[in-house]
Amino acid sequence: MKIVIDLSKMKNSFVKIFQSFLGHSTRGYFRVPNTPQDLPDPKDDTPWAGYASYLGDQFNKITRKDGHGSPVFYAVIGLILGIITLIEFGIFYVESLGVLLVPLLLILSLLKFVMVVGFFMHLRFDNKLFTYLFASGFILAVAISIALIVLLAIKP
Amino acid sequence: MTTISYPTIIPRPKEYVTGIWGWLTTIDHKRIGTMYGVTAIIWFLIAGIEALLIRLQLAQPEGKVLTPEVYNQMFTMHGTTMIFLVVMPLSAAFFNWIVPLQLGARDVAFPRLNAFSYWAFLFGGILLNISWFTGEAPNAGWFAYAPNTQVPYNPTNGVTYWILGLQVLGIASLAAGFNFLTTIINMRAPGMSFFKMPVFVWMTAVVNVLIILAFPIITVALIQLQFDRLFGTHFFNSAMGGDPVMWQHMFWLFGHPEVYILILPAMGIVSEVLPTFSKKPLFGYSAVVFSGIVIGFLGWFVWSHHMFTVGLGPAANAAFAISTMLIAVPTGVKIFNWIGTLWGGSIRVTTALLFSVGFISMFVIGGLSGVTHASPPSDAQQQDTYYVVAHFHYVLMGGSLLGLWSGIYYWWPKFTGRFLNEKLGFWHFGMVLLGFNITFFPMHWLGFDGMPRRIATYPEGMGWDVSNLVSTIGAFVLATGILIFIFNVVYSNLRMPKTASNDPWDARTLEWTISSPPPHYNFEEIPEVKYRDDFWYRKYPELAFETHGGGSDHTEQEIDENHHGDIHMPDPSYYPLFLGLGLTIMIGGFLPFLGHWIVCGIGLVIFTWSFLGWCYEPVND
Amino acid sequence: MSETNIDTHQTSTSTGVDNRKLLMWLFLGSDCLFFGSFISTYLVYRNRSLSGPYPNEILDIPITTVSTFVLLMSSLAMVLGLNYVKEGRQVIGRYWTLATALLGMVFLGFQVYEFTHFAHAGLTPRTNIFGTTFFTMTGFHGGHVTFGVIWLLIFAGSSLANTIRQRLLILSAFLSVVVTMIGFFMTETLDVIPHMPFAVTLAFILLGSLGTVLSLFMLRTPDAPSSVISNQESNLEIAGLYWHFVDIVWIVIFTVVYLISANDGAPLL
Repeated sequence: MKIVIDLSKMKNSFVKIFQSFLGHSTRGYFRVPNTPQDLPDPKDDTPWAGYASYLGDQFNKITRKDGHGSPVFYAVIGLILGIITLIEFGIFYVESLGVLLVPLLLILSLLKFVMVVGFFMHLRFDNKLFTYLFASGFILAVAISIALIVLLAIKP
Repeated sequence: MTTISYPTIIPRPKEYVTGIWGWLTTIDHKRIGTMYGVTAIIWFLIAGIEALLIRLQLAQPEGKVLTPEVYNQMFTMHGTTMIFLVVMPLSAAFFNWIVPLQLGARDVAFPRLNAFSYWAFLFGGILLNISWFTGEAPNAGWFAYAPNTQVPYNPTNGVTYWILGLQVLGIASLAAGFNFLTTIINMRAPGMSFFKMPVFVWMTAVVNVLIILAFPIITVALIQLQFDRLFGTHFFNSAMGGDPVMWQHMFWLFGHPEVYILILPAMGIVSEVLPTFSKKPLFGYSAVVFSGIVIGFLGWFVWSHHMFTVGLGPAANAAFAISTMLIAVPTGVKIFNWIGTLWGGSIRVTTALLFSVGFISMFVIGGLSGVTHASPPSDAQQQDTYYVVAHFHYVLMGGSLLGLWSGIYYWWPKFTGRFLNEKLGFWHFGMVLLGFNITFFPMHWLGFDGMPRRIATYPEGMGWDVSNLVSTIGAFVLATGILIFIFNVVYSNLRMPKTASNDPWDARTLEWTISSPPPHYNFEEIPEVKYRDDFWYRKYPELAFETHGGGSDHTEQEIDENHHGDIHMPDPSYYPLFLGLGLTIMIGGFLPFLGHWIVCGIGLVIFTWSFLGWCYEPVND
Repeated sequence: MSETNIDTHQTSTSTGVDNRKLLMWLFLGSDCLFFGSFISTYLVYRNRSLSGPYPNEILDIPITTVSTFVLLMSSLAMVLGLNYVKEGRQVIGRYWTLATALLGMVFLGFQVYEFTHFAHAGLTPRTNIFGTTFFTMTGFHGGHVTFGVIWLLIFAGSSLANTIRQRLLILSAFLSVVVTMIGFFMTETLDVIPHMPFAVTLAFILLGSLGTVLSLFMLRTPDAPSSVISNQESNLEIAGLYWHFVDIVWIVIFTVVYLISANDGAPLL
């Protein structure tokens, strides 16, 4: 029995496997489809480019003038809101945060606020007029609250 | 279209109803404006009598006309009535009549809500004034400082009447605010961008933004005070940790935007009258509009200038002093722009113009005394003296009221088709100007001499006798002037011929394109607007070429007299009346009389029935 | 809930937005000032109670977290309902609206529980300044929620239901939720009915839950064809805006009053 070890053929196989593994060839065992990075002038050659544009498309579908998201989208927002509430509840009991607790809670609440107002109330993607009207009322209320707290805290 | 059919006892009135029922169910902005105006003038006469009684009491030292208890009620009700039942409703009358016409709209955005605002205002005013008949009118001043208003110091129901009446009036104002803002934002004629709107509409927009942002604050403050009085809470009770100064903060957070709500409509009217009678466009339209917006904006940062003597501390006092002085700047800008409008114009002297010019001069005087208030050291002497009384009467009467009278004389032909008699008008103006200055100018030095506000009598030998007497005489001259006005109104309706054309003053804005008085649908065809003061350039296309570099190529709008058959205006409705009634009974039911919760419940039932009926009301075909 | 407000030929608006939607946004801007005044009163009066139960003794953070979560989920249900209605799936959309109302009622139940619990612990609006400011602020918020719940229930009842049977089913769902909540409250010894046997409370909870599920299940197949149920998209959108606003006010109250101010006690002087 003659066993022929053809080194060049082995080398070729290795090279082919190596090359197909890297995705530079669409033939071979590891057929990975072309990604945007393979284009001669890729718009975005970060590893998550495809996902970013997919999410961007989803976002645009929701946020065009009469668009509305899928129930899954809203459920995801709802889930995020629930998680933020749980985080708030959790860090409430962490003593070591000290004075950091208040700003952290305010930021988390602001996040929830913006998500509900922006997405559930669709404010971000409606006519800018609504944003101005609501924001003026809200900002005025916050400013007056802060002014009153300051005025009644300073001793004459 | 729902499948619920709401049970109705009376069917909804069809499009145009005559008689009393027509007025009770009207949702036409013009009729509602007329009702606001007539009601406001009646309250004006009542508040004027209250003022005359005050002046009679103060004409001599140790006066015996009114007891101190009644005197307290008198000045409280005079102030509250004048602000909430006279100046605000007169402004609302103009908003109702003029804003849709100047925008080229057929009605406001929510006609039934408009009617509800009027009825709530009427019933709220009645609720407030019923207190005279029960002998317990409010007696704590129009600003009702705590702790004077707490039950241990004020056990009668007076303050409760004040709180409840103001709540109803506040709801009426809020509803009107939402309505007019929606109208101005959403119902302008095609081509009318924001910067082509007349200045009066701009001022209305700013005023209504102030209303919807300021009235919730007074609503909360009134709720807190009412809970303190009725349920024994401790919002303003320092014994349990509350703070009476909080009432002052909450009240003046509302109160200061409120005074801009009172003055800006008059400023808007003056900005319409002056260009018409100088035959020139308003000088510096953008500056006037922006100043109005800046006044509305800065007005939120100055409230504690009413509290300089409360003890807020030097830092707070300094901050508010600076912001108050800043707010004089946009007002000054407007004054100069109005003078610039008159300057070099071809002036036509009519009563309306006289009142507008009177506004400018009297308001400047009031503004000057206001600037002296802006400085805490000088305010420390002036606070709670007659100097303050002089200041606010100059700005409110010399300002708002003269401006509103100017509007009445200017737009009367549009409302009624008749003119107000010009000769009587000149006498009205002269007597009012004379009487007003004789009444209120001496109060400046009375204040410097130290005469406090809100005192029922003063002793002899203080040196205040002569000025007070002069002031009282002035008050009666003023009253004569006002009587001349009332006579003029009656005379105009009875004797003046109904000859006013569409455009008797050769004016500039859209309301003058339609007949006087307008048909119930206002515009045959909604006008297309190309320029600011579009009507002027339609009349004088050559001026359009000069000013805008282009011909005014409006197509001639043919008015077909019988064409209006297919304009369907909204049907009248009786639910706004009953909603206002139910609301007032519900809120009035908080007064602590026997069985008052039952009354409150009845009010709630009427309110709910009206509310649901309004929502499910059918549209007549 | 109401038909068009003005029936002239001027059907298009200057900005292209619906008049009633603009009205609701204006109202919400104004309502910010209303709640802002109550919340700022609460904040100004922190640490000023002279006696009585203090926040650090009486506020129950875990339960309030649950009620916050319930209100957030009701907001989610609202937007899902609106979403389905806009897609044209009217029936499912209105179920979610009904679910919003029912979740709102659960939130109100938590509030009622909290108020009665505090009253039993000795905190009323009259006790101290904390009681005054806390009860008025959360009370008016609860009033807003109640109005919203009634609005949504009427909406679901009038446009989801076409027949008496369906309206009765909605009513029974509403009542079953109330019964369930009563059952839960009885397990927390409120002394409402002293010495209530555990079996009875369990019966309340089970029957109530069963009733809710059964009513909603039987509502699944409408009797009338869906073409009869009309498109009330814009009305629901406006109700949705109001409901979300009530939710975000609660987010602010929960953070500011419960989380940040939870350790307030006696005055520091």
